Amino acid sequence: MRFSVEELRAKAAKFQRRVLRRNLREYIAALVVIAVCGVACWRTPEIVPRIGFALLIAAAVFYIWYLRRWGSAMPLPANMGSADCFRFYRGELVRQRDLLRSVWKWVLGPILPGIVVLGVYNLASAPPAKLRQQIGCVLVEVAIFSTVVWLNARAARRLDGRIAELDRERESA
Amino acid sequence: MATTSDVKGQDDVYQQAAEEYGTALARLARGYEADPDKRRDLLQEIHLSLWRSLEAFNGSCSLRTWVYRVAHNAATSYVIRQRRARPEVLLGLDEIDALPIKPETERIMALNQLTDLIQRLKPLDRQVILSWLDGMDAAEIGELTGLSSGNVATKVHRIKRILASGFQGARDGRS
Repeated sequence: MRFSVEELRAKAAKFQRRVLRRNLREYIAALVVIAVCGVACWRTPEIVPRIGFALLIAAAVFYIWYLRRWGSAMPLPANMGSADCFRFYRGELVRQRDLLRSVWKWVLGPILPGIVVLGVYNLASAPPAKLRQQIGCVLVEVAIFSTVVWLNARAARRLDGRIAELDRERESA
Repeated sequence: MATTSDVKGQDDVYQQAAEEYGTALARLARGYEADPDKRRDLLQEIHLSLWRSLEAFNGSCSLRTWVYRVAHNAATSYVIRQRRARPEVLLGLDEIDALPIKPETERIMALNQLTDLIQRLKPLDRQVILSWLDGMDAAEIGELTGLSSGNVATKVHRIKRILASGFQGARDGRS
């Protein structure tokens, strides 16, 4: 099976467009969050929920910045040809593991302050009839956060195991 | 920014590599993907990675070593992505040794079993066996994989034993 350079250029361009489209969808989602929180912030007279919405807007802005900084179109590992197979494979596993571990840094961490402020305000200001409902909402949010953290941590531990196994295999003669 | 002559150089080197190693790359793709349609996609991905990577090729190693490294590394990235979508247990050479032999005619069994065995191997073991079958010696396999010559020799010895016991099992199982 043969591939002409023109075919490969076309394929590369297609990948680039796909990644750019994915990034664009993420930007639009973040802008929607900014718009919704912006309107909510503007319409709310109380200061505490305004702070909560402002924190969520800041988190969305941070996400857009992070995506622009790190979500490059069609990255090709720089060491694809210069790294031997062991170094490349290990590097890919380490990169994946570190990405999973950094979910706190670039996804959960930024949105947590806003969610906590709004959650505490809603609990404190809920009428007695709606208190149970508010507690339920908070518990659901805690469950979702905890599940995401747990799943990422478990996947990162599995990758740690594979990296250690790879290191042992290399050391054995 | 790459100049026209830089791009032309990259294209020329790619054409040379594709001419010399195209068949080997197709064989390599077969060792990583059983499904013919997915294998075509993988092979195209390998060629695309090769072409793109050649922008950085500066003769620090032979073109052959570069081509094989890019091909195996691109295929390894592919395996990692596949396992994220569909986790499956990949085996080491010592685990492959313990697998039962399926009865088929001798030649077809040999080729099918060999391909099946290779596709079930962990990435490093797969790279060793594919490189060995492609005629590389221990030193070349060591340079490609980053494994020590002792480690490569041990793996090659195991591969030879597995192949020998597999073929023998086929002859015994025929009747």
